[in-house]
Amino acid sequence: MDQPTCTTDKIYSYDEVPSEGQPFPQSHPVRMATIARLFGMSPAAVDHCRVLELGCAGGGNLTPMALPLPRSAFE
Amino acid sequence: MIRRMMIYHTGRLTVPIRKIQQARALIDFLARWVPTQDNAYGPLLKSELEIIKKSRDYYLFLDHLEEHWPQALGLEDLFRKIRKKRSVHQAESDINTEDSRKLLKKDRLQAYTINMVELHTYQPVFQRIIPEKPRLSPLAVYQIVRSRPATSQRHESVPVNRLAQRLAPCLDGSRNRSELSGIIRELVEQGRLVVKKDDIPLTIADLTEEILDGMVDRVLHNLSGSALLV
Repeated sequence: MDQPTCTTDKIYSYDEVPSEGQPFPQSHPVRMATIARLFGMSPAAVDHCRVLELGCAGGGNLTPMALPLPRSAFE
Repeated sequence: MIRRMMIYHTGRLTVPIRKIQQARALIDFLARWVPTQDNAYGPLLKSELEIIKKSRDYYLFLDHLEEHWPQALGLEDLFRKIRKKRSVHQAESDINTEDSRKLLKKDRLQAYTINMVELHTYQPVFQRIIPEKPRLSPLAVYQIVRSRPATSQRHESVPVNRLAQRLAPCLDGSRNRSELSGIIRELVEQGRLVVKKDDIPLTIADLTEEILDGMVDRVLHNLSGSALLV
């Protein structure tokens, strides 16, 4: 099997314009669970949910979600 | 759709700041002309535009003008992509989304999308009434003392003024209003805080209890109204 390779010549957008990190209410599990409920779904309880944020940078959005919800999992 | 329009509109530009400027021009145009009366889609689109308008440049650039992931996709599209990728051939999701959507009443959705009502499945914990000994969330203290906007218990970014910045480390639930007034007086005495009235700095002799208590009240009122007190 081919091994993954790492290149150093690619410039990523985050290098050009660094992200400062901030909360986005629309991404909070409370909002998503609310919208899901409105559409007749049965989302996980917010205080027992699992959240995966792709490209979370320094965690400026994820950390404030996690602190008041210690029984949920945030990655 | 907004993301695709912005990417199309800025596709030929190579300098990030030019992309950001052109994307903002497009958002302004859309926000001005999207019809919002007698339909649920318009207000929803408008509310998304307002969120994007308030975005800072780096977020607009990284999260909206990038052509690779993350992408905004409908759930069905996402399921199809995942299935194709994993070569799993199976029926569509068991969830019948059409039936589910019928459960949603039109007026409730519209009221929610234009922020007339707030709906929650979980109530965040914060103090609406200022307690005798107010306390900020530890995260808010951490952010405020570093001159950053604080993140409220409602997961919103809240700017705070200089006085709140000075008082933040003292808002740990161990001090009452009178003690907080005393701290402001000490800060002024030490030259670490300047209090102005009509743009003229007040001396320590000018700082009556009434003025100090009023300052504390305003800070605490703003913090509790912003869901920062726990």
